[in-house]
Amino acid sequence: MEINKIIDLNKQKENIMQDILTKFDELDEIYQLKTLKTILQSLKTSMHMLSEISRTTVELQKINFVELLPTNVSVRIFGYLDHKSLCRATQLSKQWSTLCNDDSIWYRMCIQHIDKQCTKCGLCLPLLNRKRKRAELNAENVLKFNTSSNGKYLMPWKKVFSERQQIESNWRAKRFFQKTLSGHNLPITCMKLDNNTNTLISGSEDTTIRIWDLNHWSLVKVLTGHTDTVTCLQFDVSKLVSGSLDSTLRIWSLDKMECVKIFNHANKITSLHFLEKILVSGSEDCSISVANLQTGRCFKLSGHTAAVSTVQIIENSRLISASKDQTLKIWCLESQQVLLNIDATKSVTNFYYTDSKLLTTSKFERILKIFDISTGHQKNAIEFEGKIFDFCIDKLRILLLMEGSISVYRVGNYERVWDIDDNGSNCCLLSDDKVVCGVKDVVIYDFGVFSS
Amino acid sequence: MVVSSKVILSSSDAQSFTVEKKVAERSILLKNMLEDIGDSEEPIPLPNVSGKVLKKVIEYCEHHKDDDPAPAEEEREVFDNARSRNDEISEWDGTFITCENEELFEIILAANYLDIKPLLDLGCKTVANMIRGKNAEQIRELFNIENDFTPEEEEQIRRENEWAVDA
Repeated sequence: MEINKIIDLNKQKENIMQDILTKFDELDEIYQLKTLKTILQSLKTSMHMLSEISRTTVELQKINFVELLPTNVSVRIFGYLDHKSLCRATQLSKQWSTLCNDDSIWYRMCIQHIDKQCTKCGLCLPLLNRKRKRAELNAENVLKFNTSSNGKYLMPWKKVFSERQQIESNWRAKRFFQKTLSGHNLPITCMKLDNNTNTLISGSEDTTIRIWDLNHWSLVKVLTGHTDTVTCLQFDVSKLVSGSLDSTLRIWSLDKMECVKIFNHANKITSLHFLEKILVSGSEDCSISVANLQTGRCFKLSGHTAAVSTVQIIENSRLISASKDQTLKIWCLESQQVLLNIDATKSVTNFYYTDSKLLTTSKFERILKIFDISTGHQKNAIEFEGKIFDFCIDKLRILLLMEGSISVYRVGNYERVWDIDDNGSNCCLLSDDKVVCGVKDVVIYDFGVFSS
Repeated sequence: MVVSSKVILSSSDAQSFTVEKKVAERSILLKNMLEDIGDSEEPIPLPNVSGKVLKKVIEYCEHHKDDDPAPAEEEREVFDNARSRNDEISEWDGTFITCENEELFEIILAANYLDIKPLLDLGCKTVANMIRGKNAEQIRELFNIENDFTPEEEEQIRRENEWAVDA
C-alpha cells in the first residue's frame, strides 16, 4: 500500500512538471526568459541548486558544431587547419573523421604544399613522379573513397599528402635505409634514375652498363658492347643512349635490351643529352655533335678550345655547353651560332640548369657558382666546407659529393640537412626520396620508407 | 540613382532593422533579392535569423560596407593562392567575433544563409583557431564531442594518422 502511495505521489509530481513545461512552451521568448530569471531569483538561498544549474549551463554551451552546422561549413572550418591538427581532429568521432578526411580539404593541402614552398608554414613537399592513380590497385582505398569522372578509383588526396609528408619528415629526421648493389668491376662513372619505374642505370670504367630494378634491388641486365669507359648515359621509357671513351655513342632498345644503333665519332665522348628527337654529345676534341634521330641530319658546333665536359639542351632549342677552356656557351641549335659566352674563370666540371639559372661547379673547388643565362653574369657564389667533386640539385635540395663525404643542403638557405661519409665516389644522384652514389658498388640511401 | 536608399530587414522574432542598401548588399542573398524585387518599402523577412544575431551581422556589414566585393567561390582557389590564404584576423574583426560559442555558431549559420563570405570565413577561421594546437582531450572537452568509436576503430584510425604525429 505504502509503495503505491509513493508511486502515485511521484506521478502527480511528474504531471505538475509536464504542465509547467507545456505552459512554458506557450510563452514567447521574452516571457520564457522572465520566468526563468524569476525562478533563479527564488533559488538564491539554495546554493547547491544554483551550482548544479551553473554546471549544466556550462555543459550545454559546449556545442559540437559539426552536428549544428551544414557539412559545407564544417568542411570550410577544417579547411583552415594544418595537417597535424586535422589528423588529430579525425580521431575525435565518426562524424569529425568523415569531415576531416574530406577530399577537397586535402586537395587544397596538396596544392599548397607540393612542389612549392607554402608561404604560410614554409613546408614544401616533393612532387614525386608517382601518379595519383596508383591507388587503383589498392583495394582498401577503392572501398572507402571517391571515384573519378571516368569511373576509375583515385587515391585520396590525404594519402597523396601523407606519402609526401612522410618522405619530407624522413629527410628531416635523417631516417633512411641503405642498400648496396654490386656488379661493376671498376668504378662507376655515370648514373641515371627514373623515379617513375624505379629503374637505375649505371655506366662504368669496366665498359659495361648495368640496369637495376630498385623495386626489387636487383640487377636486370648487363649491356656490353663499349670497348672503353662509359662516360655518360641517358634514358627514357624506350631507349638508352650511352657515350664512351671508345669514341662511340650507342643507342639501346630498353624493350629488347640490345644495341640498335652505333654512332662512330672521331674522338672520345665525354657527355651527352637528348631531348625528344635531338641528341647532342660533347667530345674531348672540343667539338659538340648534334644529331636529329628522326631525320638522321647531323652537324657539329665548334667554338670551345678544350674538351667539352657537359652539354644540355634547354627550352627554345638552345644548348648549354661547359668546357675545360673555362667557358660556358649557350648555342642556338637552329642558327648553330653561339648566343652567349660565359666566362667561368675555372674549368667547369658539371652544371645544372633551372629557372634561367645555371649552377656550376669546378673540380676541386669549394664554390658553387650561379649564373644568370640571360645576361651571362654571375649572380651568386656559395662556398662550402669541402672540395666539390660532383653535385646534383632538385627543387628542394642540393647534393654535393665532396672529399670524404656526401652532403645534402636545402635550396634557399644552403643549410646542411644530411651528410654521410663517402670514400671515392665519382658521381652522385639525387631524387625526391633517394641519394645514390658509389665507387664500384652502387650505394643507395632511401628516404622513401613509410611507417604504415 | 537613388541616394542611399534604405532596406528594412525583419528577423525571425519580428524585430525590424532599417539599414542602408549598401550595407544589406554585403549579403549576396539580399543583393540578389533586391535586384529581383527592386526598391520596396516592404520589410524583407529573414526567418532563419534571430534579432540578436541579425543585429550583430548588421554591425559587421556596416563596418565592412566599403570593402571590395568578396571573390566568387570558383575564384577562391586562385584568390587564396595569390593571397596565400590569409589566416590573419584584423583587430576589429577579432574583437567583433569574440563571443560565446553559441553566438559564434549562430553568426556562422547566419553568414552562411545570408551568403556573406568574409563573415563566414571569419567565423570559420575563429573556430579553426580554437581547434589548432589542442590535444584530442581538450577539443573533446571544448565541444562536448562524444567518442563513438569502438576500441578497434579507434586504434585503426590512430594508426592511419600516425604519420602526422612527428616532425
